[in-house]
Amino acid sequence: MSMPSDGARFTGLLSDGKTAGAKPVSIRIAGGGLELRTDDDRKTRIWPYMELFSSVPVRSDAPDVLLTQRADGAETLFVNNPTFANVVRSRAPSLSPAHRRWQGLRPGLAAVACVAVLVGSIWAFDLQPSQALARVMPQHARATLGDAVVTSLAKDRKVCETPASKAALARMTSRLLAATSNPPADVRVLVLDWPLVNAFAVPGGQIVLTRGLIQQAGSPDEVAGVLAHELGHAVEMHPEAGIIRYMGLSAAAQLAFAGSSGTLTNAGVVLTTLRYSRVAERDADTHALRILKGAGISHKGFADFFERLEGKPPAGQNSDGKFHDMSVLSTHPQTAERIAMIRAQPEYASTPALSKEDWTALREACGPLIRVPPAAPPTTPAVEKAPPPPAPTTPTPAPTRKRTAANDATAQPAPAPKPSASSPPAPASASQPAPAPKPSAASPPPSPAAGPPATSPSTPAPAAKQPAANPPAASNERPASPASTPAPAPPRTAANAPAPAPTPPVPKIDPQADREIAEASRALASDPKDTEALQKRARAHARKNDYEAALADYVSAVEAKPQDAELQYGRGTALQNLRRYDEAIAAYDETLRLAPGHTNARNNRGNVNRVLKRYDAALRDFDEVVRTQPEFLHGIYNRGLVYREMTRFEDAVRDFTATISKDKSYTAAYTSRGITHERMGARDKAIEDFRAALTVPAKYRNGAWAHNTARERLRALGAAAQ
Amino acid sequence: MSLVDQAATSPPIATVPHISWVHPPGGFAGLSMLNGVLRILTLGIYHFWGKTEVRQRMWSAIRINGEPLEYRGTGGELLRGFLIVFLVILLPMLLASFGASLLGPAAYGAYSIAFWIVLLLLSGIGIHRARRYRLSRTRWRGIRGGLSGSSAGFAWTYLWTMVLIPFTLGWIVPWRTVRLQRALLEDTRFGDKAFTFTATSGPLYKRFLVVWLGTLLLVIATGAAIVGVSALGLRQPLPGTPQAMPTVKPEYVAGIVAVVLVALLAFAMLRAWYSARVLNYFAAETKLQGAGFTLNATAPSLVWLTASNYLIRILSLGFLSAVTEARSMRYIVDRLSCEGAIAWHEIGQNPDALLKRGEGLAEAFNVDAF
Repeated sequence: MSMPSDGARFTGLLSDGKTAGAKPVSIRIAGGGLELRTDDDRKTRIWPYMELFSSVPVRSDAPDVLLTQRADGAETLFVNNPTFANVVRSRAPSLSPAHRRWQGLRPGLAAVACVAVLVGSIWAFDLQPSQALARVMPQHARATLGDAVVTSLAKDRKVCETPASKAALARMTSRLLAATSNPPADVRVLVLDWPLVNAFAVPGGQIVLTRGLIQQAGSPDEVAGVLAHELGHAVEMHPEAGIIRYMGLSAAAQLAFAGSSGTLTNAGVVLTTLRYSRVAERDADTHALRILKGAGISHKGFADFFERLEGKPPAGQNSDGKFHDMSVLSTHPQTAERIAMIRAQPEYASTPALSKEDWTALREACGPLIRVPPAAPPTTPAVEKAPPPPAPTTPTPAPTRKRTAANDATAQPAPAPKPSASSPPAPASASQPAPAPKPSAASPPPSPAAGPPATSPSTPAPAAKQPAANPPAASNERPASPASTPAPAPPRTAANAPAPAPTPPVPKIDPQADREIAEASRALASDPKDTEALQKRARAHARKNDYEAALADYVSAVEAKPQDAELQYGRGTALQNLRRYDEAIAAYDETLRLAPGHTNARNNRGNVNRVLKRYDAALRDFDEVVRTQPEFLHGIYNRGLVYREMTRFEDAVRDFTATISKDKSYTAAYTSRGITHERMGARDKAIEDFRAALTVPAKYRNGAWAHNTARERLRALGAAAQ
Repeated sequence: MSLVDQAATSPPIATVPHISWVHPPGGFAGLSMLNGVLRILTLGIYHFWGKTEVRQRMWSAIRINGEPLEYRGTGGELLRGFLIVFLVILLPMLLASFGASLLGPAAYGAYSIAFWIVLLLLSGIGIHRARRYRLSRTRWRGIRGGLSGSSAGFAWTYLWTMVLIPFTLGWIVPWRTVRLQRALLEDTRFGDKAFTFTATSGPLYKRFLVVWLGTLLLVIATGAAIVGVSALGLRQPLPGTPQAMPTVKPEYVAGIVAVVLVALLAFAMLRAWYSARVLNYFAAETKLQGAGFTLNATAPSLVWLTASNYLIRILSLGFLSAVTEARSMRYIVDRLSCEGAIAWHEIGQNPDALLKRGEGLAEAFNVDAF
């Protein structure tokens, strides 16, 4: 429609702003403004277009319009006519929505420009406001903050400390501090009983290491590297700066997004925080290298540590494995980059970060590597039994410094505390473990005959039984461990079963093994990567129950030849003996990946799964073993143990019976079947089984255990041995 | 045609105001989304201007005798209000919180208690001041609204009645509602005339009793239903796995969720039934210059309004919140009518001096005037 020209007339309502009344008014569109005239006006009044104001922007489709003069005019004019609205809008452009919105945007855009300038200058001049603020914080405030952080990290985990470990740690720390320029004021290092492999620098100079880190590091140099890295963080006050930055960004984001949803705010803050973290990590790495060099500690350990982390499966306790390929989201710069940077450093003269004694002391900060079972009284559900006779030899669980971890297979029923070792259900017994683990392959597992269910996963002992011979994985109850040495054809028997007698957990004395170790070491002196020699030496170590040393050799061998399934297998058995079950599983996984038909590895893995109570996985393993090698009796026997732990007693009995039918002298099968019957309440059948066990010779590694347990159970059940 | 003689002699007549909603061209959805985007682009500063434009549009949809209400607030006033509250209240609280955490757990505990008391007090003040700001920026035919009375007095009543709620197991709620509404309404002005409010809490208690008992029964019934369904669908852990807890089978979890949803719906209907009664009763007891009001809210329509608004807000991630505000306002306006004639010429301009900044507290603590 055409725009009305000057002279057009409209009617409206005019209010004077003094009362709520309104008068009809006639309006004429004039050149310079609106001409208004009410009935009692003697002359017209003019409202210039420039001065018109409407509280609502006048749109092109507005049906009516409400005007005043300037924003503070008292009179209001209302015209209910869309044509009029259009006229006014065309003559007074300041009434349009676009104009109004632009006015509203100006302050916002100005604010954005200011912020852009601010952020740009911080970035361009590399200012670090949060770090500057952090330095201004007084030390005691930082220390209090750090204490709060440590408390929240630790939750209910304890601090691990023995006088020896404390001294060792102090020695390492002061050596590193001496090489630090600008050391932080008050550095305190502590170890938390946490299986996670990680280390944290918290405000105030405290550094937290985890048990996982210390126990899974291959050498003290690795720990020194990580500690130096955390010192770097502390020197730069990254923890304090990080907190200040986070608070500042949160406050700013709250301001910016006042009223809108919180998710945008949080995402932005998190992403920014992460970016700063990555820069901080690079800085800390640089500091670490400098400190290590100044302290005369090799940087190889530092790199080794990262490579070790990389090699772990993602499901392990690795804290920076999660977002390998997503740099944006990860707080650690690609580990590969860091490793490369570290390895690229020139060599220099170095000595180990800690002496052997100190290193051992540090590794045992959280207690001896073999854990003493708690003295919980077993609750015996099904079977009543008299307290078991004292175990033949109940070695008091010495905090073993020896790596006898694996053997829990001690004939001994269980360390003293455990009353009814024999009680089937004895849960506690599970604990047996430790103390006596003893190499004795022959010695059967801990009493807990009841074993399995009772065995709490934490009881390593039962699980590992690896009697001396490497391979093997016995499982509680002496699950059959296949062969001992992988090398020669895996003999089914416990070839090198160490002496059966239960003995306190000490490294076995084995001159033959010593000779082999010496030979192998000579060979390795000329060629450190001689995997055959390494393997031989590792096996020898294992026979002496020195599984730490065995593991070290296997690890070196695997490094040199990662595709050798046997080496991986050996590594797995060493880990299993050390009760590092998750890693053992990983090693067996790797073995099976390289050699899918490796029955021993599958068998051992099944045992470990059983200890970890992953019964479905254990069943899968044993089913596969039985399917592919039905003559491998240990597989059937071990599967029976799994069934029994799952309380599928019928299936367990069936497996034990199958074992016996294939080998009438499989002593442990009788005993285990007897235990199963006992748990099912079939006392007579159980007695029969136990008696039968005693009539056959003690066969296989778990033969002696089978005899001892059978005798005990018979006594407990009040039956004669005949 | 000349109206001279009539205008001179006959006094302006009192007319019955006709209240209506005229939906603005363009609606609210587009504006709401645009505001959301601009707010993000300007790091939040545009929020205040966006809010203002939404209010301008909403106010102009409310018509008395076909003439719109006007909203005269500005974004600048809202921003100023917010900044002042941020600097004077929020920032010190943030620093105090940080400092208290440094001083140790006892100090932090004391700080937390103080924080909650301050928060409740300031909320009451915030509500009052926000209302005053909005009323003073509302005009019809050039006549301003207003809220007299002191914010502190209102806040005190707000606080002590709220503290008593748990101690009276909720029975103080109807009395509190009436008390607060009276405090606000009798101070509300249109021009120089105040509203009158003659409601008492008695008539509300009958319905409140039903709601109270109904809620109790609902809670018990829901709890029993959940326990029952869980028991049916319980899966025992394998014996011998020592620390495992029994879990519920997935199909039965769906059943539990359904029970909870049904319970929520029933509760919503109960509450809406009570709210409708409260709203209608309050409207009937409100008068301006002798003219009364009638509101025709019903429980089902209220439930529908609340639920749909909630869904709109959630599904649009808050970008369509202006639409929900307009819908709520339209709901009331469509159902509101006035009985009785008002002599407009007898209502003079509001004499209060204007606040120069608006709603900082309400903004900061996210409370609303209505």
